[in-house]
Amino acid sequence: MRPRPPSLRFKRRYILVELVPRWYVPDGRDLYPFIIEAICSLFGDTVVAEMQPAVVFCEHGFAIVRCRRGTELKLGTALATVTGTSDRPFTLRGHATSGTILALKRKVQALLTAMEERICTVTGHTCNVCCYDNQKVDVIERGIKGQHLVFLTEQDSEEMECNRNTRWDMTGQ
Amino acid sequence: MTLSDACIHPYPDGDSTLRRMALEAKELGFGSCVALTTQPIPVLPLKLIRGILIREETAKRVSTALRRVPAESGVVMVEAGESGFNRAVLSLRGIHVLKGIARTPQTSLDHVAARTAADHNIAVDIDLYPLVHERGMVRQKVLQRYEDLLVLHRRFRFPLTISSGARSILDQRSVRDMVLLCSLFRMSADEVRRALSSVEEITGRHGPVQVVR
Repeated sequence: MRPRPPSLRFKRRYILVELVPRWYVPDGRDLYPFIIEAICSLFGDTVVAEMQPAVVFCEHGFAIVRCRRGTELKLGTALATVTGTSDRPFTLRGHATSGTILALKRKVQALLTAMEERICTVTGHTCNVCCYDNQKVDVIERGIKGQHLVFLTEQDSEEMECNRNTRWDMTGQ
Repeated sequence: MTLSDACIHPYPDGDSTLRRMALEAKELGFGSCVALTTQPIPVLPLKLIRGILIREETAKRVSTALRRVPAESGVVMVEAGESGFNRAVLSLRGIHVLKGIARTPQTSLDHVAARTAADHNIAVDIDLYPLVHERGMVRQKVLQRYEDLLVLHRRFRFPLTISSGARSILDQRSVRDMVLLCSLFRMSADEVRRALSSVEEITGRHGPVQVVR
């Protein structure tokens, strides 16, 4: 099928969202049902059809969601209600809206911060720890009953290290 | 004008520490936060205010609980109940915020209670947690309650506060997201910004008497 000429195409808007926590890296196809469910439950099927949402980019903990021009505020509202599932919670934080994907991809480069993953022992349990540049630390304890998350800062982890009830072995395994 | 998230629940109520939630709140555009915690408040670039939530069955018990409120509590909140309870509680001294109005019956905050709240400068809290996490009929009722609350607010001018009710950094929302979520019940961006900045206004009224020349 031949593509329509530009004058006959719908105008689009693109919203850049950050996935929190950053270490959760889903595929665009995994993210799409959550976005559709959020829009559908908030505004209904008519608005979903009008909005024509799609995930056009999902990398490095950022995603770009497409919609038709004029519906970006509704999409932004719906994106704020995305909470993930009970065993894999995540949230989407809107950063910018633009008319081109390129402009948002440039913004992603500016927003990227370094993240380091380690394996540590916390109170006898082996946990994955993600440390970010801006002093943030995410502790992920995976067990047979799913994962348990704790969000703290470097200062908190140092205080926990000093606490005799909690033993932190940051040397890794 | 400092924008405040009027209620967060850090660790041990939630899975995120107070410092981490404060760090996130600063990145999300807030200047201060009210934290429901008994732990010592650390010194941070973001202003943290200690909050206390009173949940009692009767206004008499609330009055007794108010006498036991620690002096360092910045914001005293009371969980809303039915109409008579709310009217009685709103006339008590030492209360800053009436919270959990979405979980009460539709008639719980009537025009008399609204006028009392305005006279005593007590804010009514808009909790965005159920808007984000609930679906279907529950969320529809919450939206109805908040729209009804706005009608009373526009008529009687009592203060409003907006809170994320976050128990995790994943529940915290940015100022921009709060404006968008509040637009669901037809609250304008100006009203949202005024509500977000009203924590300072309601907590600053119990200062010592000043001589004005």
